[in-house]
Parts: sequence; structure tokens; C-alpha cells
Amino acid sequence: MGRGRSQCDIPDELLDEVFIRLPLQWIVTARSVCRRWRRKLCCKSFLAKHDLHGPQQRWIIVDYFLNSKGFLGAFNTVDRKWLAIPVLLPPRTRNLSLLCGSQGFLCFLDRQKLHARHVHLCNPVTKQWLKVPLPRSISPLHLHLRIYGTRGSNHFKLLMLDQTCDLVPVASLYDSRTRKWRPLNQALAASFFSLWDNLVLSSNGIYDLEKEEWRLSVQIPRFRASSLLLRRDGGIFKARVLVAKIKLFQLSMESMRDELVAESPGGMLPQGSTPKPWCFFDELDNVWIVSRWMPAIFMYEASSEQWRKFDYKWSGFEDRGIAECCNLSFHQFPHA
Amino acid sequence: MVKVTLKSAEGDVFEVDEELALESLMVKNMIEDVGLDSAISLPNVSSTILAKVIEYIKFHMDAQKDGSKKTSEEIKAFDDDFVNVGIPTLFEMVLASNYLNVKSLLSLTCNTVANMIKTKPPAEVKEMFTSAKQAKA
Repeated sequence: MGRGRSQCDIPDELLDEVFIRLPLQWIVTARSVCRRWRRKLCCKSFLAKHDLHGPQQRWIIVDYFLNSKGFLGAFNTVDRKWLAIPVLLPPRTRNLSLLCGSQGFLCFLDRQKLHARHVHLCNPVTKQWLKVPLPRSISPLHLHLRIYGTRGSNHFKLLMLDQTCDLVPVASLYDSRTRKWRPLNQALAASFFSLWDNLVLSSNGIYDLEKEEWRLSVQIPRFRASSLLLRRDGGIFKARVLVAKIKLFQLSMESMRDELVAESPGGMLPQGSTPKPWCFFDELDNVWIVSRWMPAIFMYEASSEQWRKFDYKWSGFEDRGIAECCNLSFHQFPHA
Repeated sequence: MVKVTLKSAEGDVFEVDEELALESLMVKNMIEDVGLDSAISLPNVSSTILAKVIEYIKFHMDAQKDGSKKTSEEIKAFDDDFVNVGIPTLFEMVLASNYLNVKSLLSLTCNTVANMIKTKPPAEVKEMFTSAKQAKA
């Protein structure tokens, strides 16, 4: 090309190459720029490619404002910014509460109902809802549920633990491919909680939901599900709030004891009694701690060993709510 | 060592090792089709850009050779410096690496463009793309 004809415009097929590398929130905003971009960025084949190859980002989703203000709070753990995602609740629901999320699918339960007969799945990005029936009607108090989705695929699995009868909790697995529930490995039915993509932590070890087999079979002592968290390499951790400090422990597989890994400086938190926080790992092994007693998120940065605090963007904090950490996606529900 | 002659849009001639030329899948196909006797004409690539592409391929081929002492930090430093150019040049490199079908360079340049624009509001980016287009017309 001569000087007079410098070629600067990026043709369509190369624009895709650039767009595929941009984060999901950028893609959504860019749709309103012009008609040509809108067509391109709403195109199913582009979105499927983006779901598979786009940048991985974990979000912390909080449902605190869902029923009162109609939006989900979403905190991006990569650029560390808040985003409000407006959500139109499905008809005849009153008090939806977040249960879990994975690969863009969030799972909600109507807490107003005495017996839950189904759960509501939502992709807040595509604004789609899907109602999934439960294998039996269960009191919301006794229901534990985790969802597992695969990157680049719109299929998902639901893992349910019914503790209605305390002595014999029952685990069931739903597969969106068969659209059926089936009973699962009884050993898992003791208790489970934290999940890293396909990995579920239970008192009997770590269970792989994708392969449907045990990845690590070990009795975890003093297993109190809600205080544990799982790192992507399978490391088991515990976060505790003690005298205005957050302490992070790792469970040693040799000694089966908790070993202190990190401790926040004092004064980050107010003194006094503090309910257990929600804790998650991200892709960079940073720990995110969502406080239930003040509108803030705390973070332990693994690389710098520093603690940081991020305040909520919104006022009117209500301390009843649930936080979850997962990726967002453009996935459409199968057979929706 | 067999040499391949590449001819840029301006008609400038670049003589390179065959091994290096084959890194471009487009040139590789051309060689398979027409052989090595005549110069391979690349009417979509300017001399400046072709020289840069050759520099890029040469560096990475040397870095991959056995006995190369280049560390991954040095390679990254080279890449960072390589794409540290103005937007027009960067866009030209995106186009050239696509045309010449050099996958690693296409991904490096597209990543650079994406990193530059991901913090900018999309409307501003559209503006940037359009003004680049008008400059062309």
C-alpha cells in the first residue's frame, strides 16, 4: 500500500477476531453503538464463539437488591467494578433468593412458598428464565442445591441434597440432556457445600460432577460445610472472622489440621459478633469474602499477599441475601 | 538454504529463507502452487509492514531453535515492543497477518487491539474505527 492509501479499517471478519477477545460487559454495551455492531454482537455464532474463547472472568453476584429493587449486583473480580444487572422476575414469584450459579446460569428459589416444587434458572445476560421441577416437593429450609455448567455448552447439571429427614439426606442429580433427576451416590449425601466448577466439597472428600466420581476420598474432620471453600487445584480452605480480623486457613491433608495461611490487618472490620461470610476463590487464586454484616467485599490477593476492601456501589444495604461467584455467559437454555 | 523472493505492494523485493517463508500459510500455499522460480507477489502488504512481519517471524523462529538462550521474558519483551506502534500500523499488521495467514502474529496483534479498547467505551471505539476509515478514504 502506498502512503496515500493507508489501510486502517478493520474488515468484518477481523472485527470478530478483536471482539472475541473483549469482555462480556463490553460486548453488551457495544450492541447499542450502531446497527452493524448490533447485528454482529447479537449473532448466535459469534456469541457461541465468545462463550468458548472469550476472556474468563468470575463475577460475584449478590441478590440483596433483587426483590426490592429488581436488579442483581454483579462485581467483576477482574476489573473490580460493580454492575447492576436489571432482572425481570418471572410471574407469580414473590421472594426469589439466589441458590447457586455456574457458567452464566443462576438458580433461584421462591422462599415465600412453604414447599418448593421447582427452582427458577436465569441467565441475567440473555434475560432468559427456565423452570426446572424438583424430584419431590421440599421445604426451602431443607434444600441444598448446586448447579454445574460447562464452558461453551448450554447444558447443565443440578445437584440437590434434601435434608428434610435429617438422618438420611438424599442426593439427586439432574442432567439437562435427559431432563431427568436420578438418585446419586449415597456417600455424597452426608453434606456438601462449596464448589469449584465441577468440584463439590463434601464431608467425604471432593466429588467431580462432570465425571461423576470421587476425585479425593477422605474424611474431613469437623466438617461444617458453610465455612469451607475450594480452590481450583482442589485445596480446601476455611475463612473465619475472629475479633475484627479475617483469618484464612488451609486444611492440611497430612495432619488433617487447619493451618493459618493469611490474616487480615485489624481495623478492616467493625468489632463484635459477625455472621459467617460468603467466600470464594477466583481464577488467580485470590480469595473473595463477601461480608454479611456490612456492605463490602474483602479480597486477599494471592500474588501480593495484600488485603483489600471494596465498598458496595448502592446504598440501602439489606443484610439478608446470598452471594455467589461464577462466570457470566451468553448461553441460551437448552429446550427453553 | 533455499531462498524465496517476496514482492511487496510497492514492488520492493525481500529475499528470505524458505523455512521462514513457510511460516506464512498463504505463502506456503503459493509455493506449493507455483513453485520457487518466480517472486511471490504480495499486493496487499506494504514494504514497511512486510519487513516487520519478517522481523517477527525471524525472531520467533530463532527463539524456538534448540540452543536458543532467549527466556520467555525476553520473548515477551520483544512482542510488547513489536506491537508498541500507532493504531494505523497496528491495524495494518492485523490485516497483513490475516492475509499472510500467520496465526501467532494475528493473535498477538488482535490481543493488542482488544487490550487497547477494552477500557474505552464502545462508542468511542466506534469513533476511533470510523475516523481511521475516513483517513483511508
